[in-house]
Amino acid sequence: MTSELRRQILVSVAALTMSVLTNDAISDTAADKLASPESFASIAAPEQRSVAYFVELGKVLTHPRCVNCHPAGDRPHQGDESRLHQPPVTRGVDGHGLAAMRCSICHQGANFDPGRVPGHPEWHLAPREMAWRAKRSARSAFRSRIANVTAAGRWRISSTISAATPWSAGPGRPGLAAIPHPARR
Amino acid sequence: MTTLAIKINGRAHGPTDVSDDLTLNDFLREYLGMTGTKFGCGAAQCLSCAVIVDNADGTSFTSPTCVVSAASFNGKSIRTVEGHAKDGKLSALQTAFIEKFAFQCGYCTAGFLNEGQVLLERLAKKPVARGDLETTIVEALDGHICRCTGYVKYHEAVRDVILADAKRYLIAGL
Amino acid sequence: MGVGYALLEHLPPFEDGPGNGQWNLGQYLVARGSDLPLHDLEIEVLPPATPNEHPKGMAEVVMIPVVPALLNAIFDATGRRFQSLPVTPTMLKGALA
Repeated sequence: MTSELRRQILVSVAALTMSVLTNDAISDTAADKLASPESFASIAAPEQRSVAYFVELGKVLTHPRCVNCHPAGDRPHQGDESRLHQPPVTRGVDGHGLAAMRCSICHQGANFDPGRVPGHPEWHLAPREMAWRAKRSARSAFRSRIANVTAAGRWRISSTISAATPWSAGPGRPGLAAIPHPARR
Repeated sequence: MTTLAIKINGRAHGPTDVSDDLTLNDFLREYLGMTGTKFGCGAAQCLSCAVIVDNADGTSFTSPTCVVSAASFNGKSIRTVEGHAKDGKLSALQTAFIEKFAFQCGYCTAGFLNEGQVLLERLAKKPVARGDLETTIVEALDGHICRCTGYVKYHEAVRDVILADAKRYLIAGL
Repeated sequence: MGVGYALLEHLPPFEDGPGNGQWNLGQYLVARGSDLPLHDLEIEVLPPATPNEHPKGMAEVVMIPVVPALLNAIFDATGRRFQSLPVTPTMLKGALA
């Protein structure tokens, strides 16, 4: 693990948390607020700082509306209450839906507010390996990821938070504005 | 405001200036008066608003029109229910729907017709086994809600059109 | 319609339900094709009472026996009688547990 790669990891993770607005210290953050990047500066060891970033990141990644498209099964969920997606769409062969109901038919390249349908050029289910809405709780899934991170897999952080476009789901859907979404690698 | 030039049932429309907020459903029903395409839920749940979109590569798919912008269809080619009959002669699917009494109030029928037509065209390109036919039809039509009929006769009509031309739609020998 | 009434159409009164002004078919679940045994139905057409009898429809009246039939079937399968509708999958899982 070169220090250059380590720097890149920290920069990309910091870039993620940079998008947040609050200035709370890490230990004081409420569930709906994220810590500012500066508040992590107090952690000297880079490895531990990475872990702290990742734990904070976990709050975003376990948000209901992120988890909605990371199911362990074949059906997405929708809404803050994570009910099953209606109409009843399913993963299909490639994660982009069945032949008659591709995700991209309704979820086009951009949000369409008059139809209250969010959109993004890369709209599809995450692969099953990224099933955060998992058999065990999403939080424990993350704890095991953190263990992997500190052991040998630090590169995994940067690989999952690669270049992303900010994604805001439109009116009436607060809380996800300007949070970079991992694009498919 | 964006310019919209679109081909509907083989006929070019536009270019017209449309607002970015205009749904394709409103464009068809209000601007063009083509009211065969219905407006049901407005939330892509019922698909009574569905039209056929023809890709340049010869494939087609059905799309709801109530949640997509008309502007996003600039340069595209679509087919609506008004375009199924040729010179007054009903398509095989339309005839089957009538003979099987597949619809009652008729509000969902345009959507079912479009979806059934796309299914027929898809099977003609990529036939399925006879044993998979019922599941294939259910999967294709499941996006469409019908309150009146209970779906049975719609499915039977589609299935019978396929079976009547089994050589085209089904894998031989299976 | 009967299947939806018995098994799917959950409709809380007032603001818990459509009273909040936000409900659409995504919340009010009606039966789709995949919810029905489309190819397992036995349809029996009764012969007319007299040779000259005009065919008559009876519209939604036909739905009335569907709901108790389904609830009886659930009792037959699980031993549990449900007294409120709809009998959702969650309730059924509870009955089977």
